[in-house]
Amino acid sequence: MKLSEIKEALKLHARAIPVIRKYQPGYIASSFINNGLNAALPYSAIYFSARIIDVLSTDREPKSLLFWVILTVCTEAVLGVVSIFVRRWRTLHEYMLYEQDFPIYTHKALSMDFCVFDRRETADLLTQIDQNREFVACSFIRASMATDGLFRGAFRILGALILSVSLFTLPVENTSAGFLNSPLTAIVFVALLALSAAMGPVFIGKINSYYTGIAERGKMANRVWDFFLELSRDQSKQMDVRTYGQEKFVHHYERSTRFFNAEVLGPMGWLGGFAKGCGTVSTGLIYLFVCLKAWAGAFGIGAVTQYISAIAALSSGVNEFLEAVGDIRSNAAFLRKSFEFLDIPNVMYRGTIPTEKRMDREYEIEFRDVSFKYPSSDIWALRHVNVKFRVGKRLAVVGENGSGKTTFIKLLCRLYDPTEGQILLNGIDVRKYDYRDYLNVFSVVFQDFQLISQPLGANVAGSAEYDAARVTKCLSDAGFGERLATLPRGLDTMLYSDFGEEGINLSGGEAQKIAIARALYKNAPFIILDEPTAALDPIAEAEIYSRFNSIVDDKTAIFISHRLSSCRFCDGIVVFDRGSVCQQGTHEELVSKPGKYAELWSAQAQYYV
Amino acid sequence: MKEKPKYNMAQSLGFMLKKARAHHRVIPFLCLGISVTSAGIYLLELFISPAVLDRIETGAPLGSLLLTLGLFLGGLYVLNWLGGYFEKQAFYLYTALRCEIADDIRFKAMTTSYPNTTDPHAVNLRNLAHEATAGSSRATEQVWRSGAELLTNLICFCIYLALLSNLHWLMIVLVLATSLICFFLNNRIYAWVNSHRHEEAKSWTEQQYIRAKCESPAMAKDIHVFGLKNWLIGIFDRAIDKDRQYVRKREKHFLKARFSDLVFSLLRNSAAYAYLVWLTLENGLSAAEFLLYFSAVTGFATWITGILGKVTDLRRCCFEISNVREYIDLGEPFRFDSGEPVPPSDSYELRLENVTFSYPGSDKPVISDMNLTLRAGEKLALVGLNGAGKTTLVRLLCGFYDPDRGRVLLNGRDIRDFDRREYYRLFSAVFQDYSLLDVTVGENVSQQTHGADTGRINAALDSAGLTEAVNDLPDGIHTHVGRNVFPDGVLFSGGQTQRLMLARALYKNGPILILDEPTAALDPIAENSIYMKYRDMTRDKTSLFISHRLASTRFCDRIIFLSDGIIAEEGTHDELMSKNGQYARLFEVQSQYYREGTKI
Repeated sequence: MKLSEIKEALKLHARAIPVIRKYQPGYIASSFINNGLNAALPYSAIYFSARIIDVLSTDREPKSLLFWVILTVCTEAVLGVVSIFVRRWRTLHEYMLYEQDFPIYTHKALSMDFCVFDRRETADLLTQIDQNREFVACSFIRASMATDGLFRGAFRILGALILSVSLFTLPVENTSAGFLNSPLTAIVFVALLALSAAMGPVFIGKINSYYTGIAERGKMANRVWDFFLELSRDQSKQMDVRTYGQEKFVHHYERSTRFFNAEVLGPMGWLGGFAKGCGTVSTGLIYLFVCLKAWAGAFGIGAVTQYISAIAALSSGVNEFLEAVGDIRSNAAFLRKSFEFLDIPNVMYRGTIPTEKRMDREYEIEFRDVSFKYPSSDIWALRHVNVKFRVGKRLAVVGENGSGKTTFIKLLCRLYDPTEGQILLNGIDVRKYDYRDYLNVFSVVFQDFQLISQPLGANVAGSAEYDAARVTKCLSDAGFGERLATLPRGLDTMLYSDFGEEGINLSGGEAQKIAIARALYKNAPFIILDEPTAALDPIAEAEIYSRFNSIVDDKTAIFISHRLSSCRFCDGIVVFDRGSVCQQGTHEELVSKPGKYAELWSAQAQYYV
Repeated sequence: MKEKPKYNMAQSLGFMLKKARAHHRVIPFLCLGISVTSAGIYLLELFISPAVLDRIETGAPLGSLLLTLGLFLGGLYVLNWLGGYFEKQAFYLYTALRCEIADDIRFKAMTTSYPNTTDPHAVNLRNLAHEATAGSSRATEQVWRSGAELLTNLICFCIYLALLSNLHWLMIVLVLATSLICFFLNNRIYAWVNSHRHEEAKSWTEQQYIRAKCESPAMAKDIHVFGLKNWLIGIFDRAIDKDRQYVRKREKHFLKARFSDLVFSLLRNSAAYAYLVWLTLENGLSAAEFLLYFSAVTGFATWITGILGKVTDLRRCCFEISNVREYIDLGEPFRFDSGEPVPPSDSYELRLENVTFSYPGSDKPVISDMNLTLRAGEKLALVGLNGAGKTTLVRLLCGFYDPDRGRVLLNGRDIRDFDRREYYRLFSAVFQDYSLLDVTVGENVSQQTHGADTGRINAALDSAGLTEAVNDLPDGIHTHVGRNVFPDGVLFSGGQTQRLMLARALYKNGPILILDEPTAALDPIAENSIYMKYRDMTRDKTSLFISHRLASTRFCDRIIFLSDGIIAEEGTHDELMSKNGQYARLFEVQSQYYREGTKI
């Protein structure tokens, strides 16, 4: 156990305390008081029962017996009542340990720049933190528990010391055992006791480090376990599972990663035996020393019971304290991971200029020589892109898979900033605008848009409070009006049943209409549809296009689609190829010229003419 | 807990013992060892103090004192060591056995007749069975611990009872009575907890759901663009607060229970003190004997409560195990091993004969009295609007459901006669809902754990147009897919995944090819290149192509237009166009924008 290591662990633990106090207010205070009381209860019992035995083994005076018995019962009653209330207060905090741990990370995730959150390292960190938590209680949870353990150990030690001090001070009468009075004997006894008490944690430490050593395998096994559990109960996969006999993979992968087998158990069996045995060695030493002194006449047998119980409690107190310290030490690695995540800085420059809230909604966007690489990638996702468009137009963005269309949209809504070049809104670099203000210029229906299992109205508005009339209008503009009319709870209808409440299921087309309604509700001057028709049949697809054309009225609509039929609506078409804009113009201009657009168009159109 | 379990306690325990015998036969003996050693430790601890006090009180010689101490401590050491050793053994053996049972459940879930995967009763049983094996604290592991602890409690109870028989019978009755009353009062509280467990579970589900959404990359885009942060945090906070309210309510009940515990234990202790002090004074018991009896009285109460508590635990475990057994033994509407083998043939013809089908729990037929022959070697296209019954038709042909009326015939034989698992081997299919595994690319293509043919894997990838993408991967076809299991896995785009699924179907090379919207996520050029290969892919096969994009139907020998569960129109593209019916109208809608000069 290196000192520097412990120092660093304590430093991390100290850093964790304010986080615990913020997210688990009351945990530490209730732990302190609860542990103090929990120590007082057994020690008072030890003390009083020793007094009763003392009286019984000496003069057996009924009056003093009565006195002690009544005092014992009364103390037990008073402490008992107090501890019931303290326990209740304590449980409220203890119970919420896991519940209140999650928001620490969720709040951070929600406050990150998208481009930071979207990094692979961020996702990996979050996954690791989750997996660690699933495997063992760790990080802030363990720091909380370890703090509790420190208090528990400390109070136990304190109480035991108070009850056992006189063991060392009372002299023996029997001269042949005079060596028992020597301070040296007491020191040797304490040293031996400390040694044997320390042996337990040594064995437990060995077991734990063995366990930590196989933790990677354990986590792997857990991931395999979870994946195949999900596979076996995901209804949507069961046709595929049966067609391809995928059950064989469960057996194969679970066998090869299975964590619990005899080989993994290794030396844990006998280490466990010795760890348990150590306790007996301490008990033996205590009995030996106390009994010898009593036998030699230092004190009566009441005191024997007191000392034995007190010192046994002392060594278990020391044990608990050391275990808590060990927990703090082994928790350091987990806390480091957590802080690594919590300390991730945001990187986007956020200006302060408000976007002009013009009533005439005159906006002009320009990409000026924009190039972009995803972080941790060497490939240009966009290269020298120059595009300019004004509000009020219909724009189509087309190209093959992976040609940069979606990246273009991500830059446009500042989910990412360009690596090179500038994006200008009305001639000013978009980074200089207030971030939220700038985002208010855009509405996007992403290809993988997400609705959540919450009331319909809240989903459209993105908030629990909303303007019901406007939500209803947006829903009917998006083509959801008919279905809405059939819902008895209207806007309060729960979507999906994942939230534990019975909700309605939506077809792909219906979900898309709600997502479009959400985009309309935001009432932004630019509205972007990313691949809106993949899940729709031809009729529904045609309906979306014609409807959309009429509802966007004075707004700018940008379509990204594989179905080039949508281009016919548009005033301008931007064709992407391998990260660059290779063609720009109207459908009429582009279709007749040889080039990418004509190629894409004819690939699809040939079957329809 | 209201429902009566299908199997009683003895049957459930028998099930566990049988599983133990099959996989880890030492487990029952380990339980026995653990309970005997811990009972031994309790007894030695009860007697050690009175025994040495007695030596000191009676002024016995030092040798006798040391001998007494040595015997007790030696015994304690041995038993503690054994206990520690057994515990570690049990720690992994219990888990290992639980994993075996979990494996059985997964195997059942992935091979049971398809209707069982949607039947609410079967799904509920499956979830309960999963629950019972979900962790070390669950029934399939806990049963051993509860069993061992019950045994310990019983052993100690008997020995304490023998010891206390020296005292007045009223004392024993008092301890019994107070313990029983406490237990039943507590039980009522636990009954409350049990009946409110769903509240706890619900708020947990809510929290985990909203947390997953907040931290999901797909959601992050929407969160930023629509500023959903505060809304989501509000939902999260409310879910956590629900939990807090629940504990508050629960603790209110526990408060009563703890008070009754305190009152009765005070009553018992006061009576014990009074009686034992009186007995000591009256009969001249030694202080050591007083200590022994006092410890025995308080300890006795613990064993009574322990026995009652462990019996309750064991019953709960057995209840959950009964669900596991019931699920594993769940009846199969399809034939598997008992079915006939599918006769080998060069070509396969599938025929629906007067088929009517409605989904279980609904009386609305999705397919009505349908007759359709998918001729051997024929390329058939299936089109229709969403909800016309296309997917249901595929499910019937592939043998995932059996028709309510009529028959599905394979080369003239009812498919119900066959081993359904063998029947599934005939199909190379790309369904809309696919199951991409977090294993290697190669394993995803071959769907084999051993003995896959690398050459054929590469050929299949090539036909699906994935060669370039796979070559770019760090380990080629040995690269892992997905990030759920392997941290270094690759994430494919929607289009690439679709190609991978196609490659898988090609590798399988089944005589019947089913493609359900295989190009929805592909760009026009990629889509076109798949169409161009279609003829190659379907050579010597019977095939069914389902698509919204009517362009694709041109490659097929025959087109079926489905509407409201019946075949509305059928024929080649040209025949259907000249018929000028629903198909022609649909084609018109889709193609209008592609034709030059159309007014828009």
